[in-house]
Amino acid sequence: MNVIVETQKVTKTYVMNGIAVEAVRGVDLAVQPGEFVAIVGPSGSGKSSLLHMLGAMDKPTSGEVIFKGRALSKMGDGQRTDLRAKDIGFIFQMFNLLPMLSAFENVEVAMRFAGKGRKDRIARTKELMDRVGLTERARHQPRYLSGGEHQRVAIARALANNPALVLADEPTGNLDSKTGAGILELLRDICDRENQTVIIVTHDFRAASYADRVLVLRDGRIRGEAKIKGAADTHRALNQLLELELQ
Amino acid sequence: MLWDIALKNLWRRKLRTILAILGVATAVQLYLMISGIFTTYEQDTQHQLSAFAGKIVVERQMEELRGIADFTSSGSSLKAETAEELLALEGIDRSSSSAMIFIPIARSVMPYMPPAVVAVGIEPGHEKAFLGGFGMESGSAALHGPDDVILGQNAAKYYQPEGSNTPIAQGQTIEIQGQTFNVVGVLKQAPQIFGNAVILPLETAQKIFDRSNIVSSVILTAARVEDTQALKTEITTRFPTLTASTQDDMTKNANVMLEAMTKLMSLIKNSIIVVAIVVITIVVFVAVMEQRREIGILRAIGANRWRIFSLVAGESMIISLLGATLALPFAVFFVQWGMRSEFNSIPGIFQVWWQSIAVAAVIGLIASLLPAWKAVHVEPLEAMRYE
Repeated sequence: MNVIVETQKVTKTYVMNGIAVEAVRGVDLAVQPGEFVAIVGPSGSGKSSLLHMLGAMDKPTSGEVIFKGRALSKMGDGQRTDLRAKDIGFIFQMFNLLPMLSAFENVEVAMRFAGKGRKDRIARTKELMDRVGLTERARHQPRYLSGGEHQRVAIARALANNPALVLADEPTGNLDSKTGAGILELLRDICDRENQTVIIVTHDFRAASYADRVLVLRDGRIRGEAKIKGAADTHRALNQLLELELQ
Repeated sequence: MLWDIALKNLWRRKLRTILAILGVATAVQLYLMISGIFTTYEQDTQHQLSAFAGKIVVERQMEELRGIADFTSSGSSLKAETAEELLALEGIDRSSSSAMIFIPIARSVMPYMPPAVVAVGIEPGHEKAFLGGFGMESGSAALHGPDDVILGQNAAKYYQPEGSNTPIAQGQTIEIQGQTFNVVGVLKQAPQIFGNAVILPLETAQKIFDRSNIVSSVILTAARVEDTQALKTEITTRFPTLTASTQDDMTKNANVMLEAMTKLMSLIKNSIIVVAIVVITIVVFVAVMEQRREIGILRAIGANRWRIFSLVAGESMIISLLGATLALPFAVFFVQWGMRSEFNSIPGIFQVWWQSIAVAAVIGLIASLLPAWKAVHVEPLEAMRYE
């Protein structure tokens, strides 16, 4: 089976003030190339922790994360950083743009870490700024951009190196519903047109409805899963998941 | 290397960056001044010593001045008869030998330095004994009349008319001890003791300074250079109360003093370097703490530890190199306007400036080590939660 990323009984335990808290408990999942997967769950369900492990930003306490056939546990810090530079694009809830750089430079800087030459970086950045509809705002620093514009720049940055996987942690969490919908449509469009693999985590089922597949995470475990795209009745599938979430 | 991000980070915190640069500039300026003054003094000393190649300076050292390295001791005193005996020795070049008297006219502001202006009495026709091959800015290197004087370039500035910025020139007159003298020549840029000299006939100097039958020293030039050592031995044998110093002896004495000064200068310069490192370390350390979140973002999107290190080191080196660059005009300004121009150390400052740039680069790198170590160990997730 052709899989971009998969987890095998992945667990994450945090120790806070001597108390162990299991954020993720034995999660198995696999994501195909070109898939748009949403992981839904309430706050504290472990979805962000799971996303960080998928993105080589955190290590599981036990279990394995396998990215394009390579076990992340066998990689050193340098290799994991290299993976984040070239193969994984991250979109954060708080946007996390660099305040001293313009929108253009925020996108361009990601390509430096992947070793791209200056001409290629500039050409690709222009293409991406156009793709996310921010050509006119390219020279502005983040403090002059709206929330939606921030997230568009973040999306452009995440796509800069044509990554195998894009991970988005609550991409609409800090946006109003209209702006958030715009962002999700953009991600959906990127997934459809460029066969980009996307995983988002969200607490919002409406956001999850843009995905091909939705996984419900609660108390660190996957409680349910539904195929949304191509489902006979998308609404029913989502409602079933919602019921699962509310149980 | 993320130079552009380093520059933008520094620009974002302009006031702090400027203060850090000024701090480094002050430290490097002190380094430059000390190095420059010492380099100039060292070169000047070597240049002065070169004028005594093949010569022997005979003096009668005052007991209390014994051991103090000074080849133009105005504290030395010889009877004129003794000087004549010395000048009559076999094997000397009489035209390049002379009895001399040295009398300070103006003392130096700095301790243990030769006088700022010194009257040098010399036998007319034997000026070569003292002046050697030094060139003339104007006029002649020969004293023809009892009221003739030749001035060193610093002495010419000392005697410039009040309100004028132009040194005294050939053809003008100066007054010494109430007597008027004609300036027949001005030396071209000569080392310190020569540049500070007011050269006049020996008899005239003895008369106006009330030193009849007394000279300070006798400069003898061997007819053949290879006979210099033998001549020195003869002098010390025949005149046991006198000291005879060749160029080698003077060089040894000068080196003793230079060595002591070098140690002191090194101690001061090393302290300056330590202060500069501490200043930059503190500034960069605080900057790293403030930029923790941004460092986390960079790590999250693929910046490896080497890039983070080079970012921090880059900021540190920019501060230190800009500080070192600014230090040069500061040093020149303070030397030009803060010190008397009897000792022009500005060429020395320019000579060591390139060295201070290299030192600043090293300071910047060393100062960045601790903050950079902190920065490369920033965990992306933890840092991005940092507010």
